[in-house]
Amino acid sequence: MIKKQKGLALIAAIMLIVFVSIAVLRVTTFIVQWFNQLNTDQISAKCLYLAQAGIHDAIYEVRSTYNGTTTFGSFTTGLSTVDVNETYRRGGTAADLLMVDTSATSLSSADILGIRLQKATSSALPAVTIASMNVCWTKSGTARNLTSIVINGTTVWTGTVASSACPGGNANITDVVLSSNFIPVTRLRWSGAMAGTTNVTVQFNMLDGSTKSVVVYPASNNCLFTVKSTGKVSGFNIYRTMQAFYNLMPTTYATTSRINDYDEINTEITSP
Amino acid sequence: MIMMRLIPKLLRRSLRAPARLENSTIKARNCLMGFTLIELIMTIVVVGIVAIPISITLSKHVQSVFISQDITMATNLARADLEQMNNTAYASIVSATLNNYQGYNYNLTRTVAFVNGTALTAESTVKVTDQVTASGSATVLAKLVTYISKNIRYPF
Repeated sequence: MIKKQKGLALIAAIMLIVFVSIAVLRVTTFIVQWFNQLNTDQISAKCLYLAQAGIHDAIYEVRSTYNGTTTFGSFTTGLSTVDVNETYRRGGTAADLLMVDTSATSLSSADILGIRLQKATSSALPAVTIASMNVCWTKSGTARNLTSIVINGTTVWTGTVASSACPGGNANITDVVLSSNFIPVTRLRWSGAMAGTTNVTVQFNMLDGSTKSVVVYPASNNCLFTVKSTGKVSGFNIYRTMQAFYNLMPTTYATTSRINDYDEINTEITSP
Repeated sequence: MIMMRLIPKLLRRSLRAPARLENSTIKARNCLMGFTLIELIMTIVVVGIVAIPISITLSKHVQSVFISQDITMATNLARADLEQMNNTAYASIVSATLNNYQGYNYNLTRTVAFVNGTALTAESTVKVTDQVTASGSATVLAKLVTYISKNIRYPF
């Protein structure tokens, strides 16, 4: 009986220490996780406002380089520093950076005239190259076929696209590489007069696989492009990306150009 | 719980020990008494060694809870101010020091500086930096930075 009692207090003390240690470890783990979450929340808030900085700076660049005679303005892509260890990176797909001005389009017998195209960035990357176009239209009366596309004075496609139902027949054009100065789509030509046409929509298929669909006729005061900006803090894997759909509105540029839509996306801009 | 059971048990053992020892040898009595004392001392030492770092850790945890509340509050106040700036007329976005911001015990310092253009140019961009400290402290608890450009229009 006496032997059995030996060491009881020590064993009990060791057990107590083990239990208390486990409890303290659990509390410590919980608090460390809590702090990590708190840190994540704070970095996340920073990233959101850094992404906003990228969007606002891009719009400033576009607006300050606009002249309306050779360019609608452009912004630079890539990494920019806002503050110590705080950066944003701007970029997007070719379709995002394709500007299609439809403010001065017109129908002239068998041709659609006056569309203008531009790359929204002055940076080399990403390249904005149109690989093909799908054209569809709504027209009463005699059916017509699309027969040729001329961009900047060069015939980039001839053939026959009979289908007028969207997304329309595909015209595999000679690749058109765009720059930060706009160029005209000299004409889209059909097989005959297009009287009775109420709508022409062009889907631009870019070399990188992205697409952009634009109603080119009737004319509308639109020249849309998309800016994407990812905010990051050095040393953290957290990022926030904002995208803004900006409408340049060429005919009333100074007073009405605006962000049409502004939201967050779950994609990190990693290049250029 | 274990401690609560253990202490009365040890006391009972100490009180009962002399009675039991009447039927034991002196050697056995000495052995039992000595061992209990050593045992208790050892226990106190071991518990003490473990309890000191544990109590320090817990104390730091309690402090960190208060710090985290400060950081959360400061970040939210900085956010609130930047959202307010996003919805303020461009010309009215100016540097300011706001003590006890929005009635809380935190001071907010807003710094506005042109990064593109000037106040006189048709287009410009300002860098807005919000730093929040607890009232009476110089430690920055939260800092948020963004750009706001002139002539940004939203559909909403």
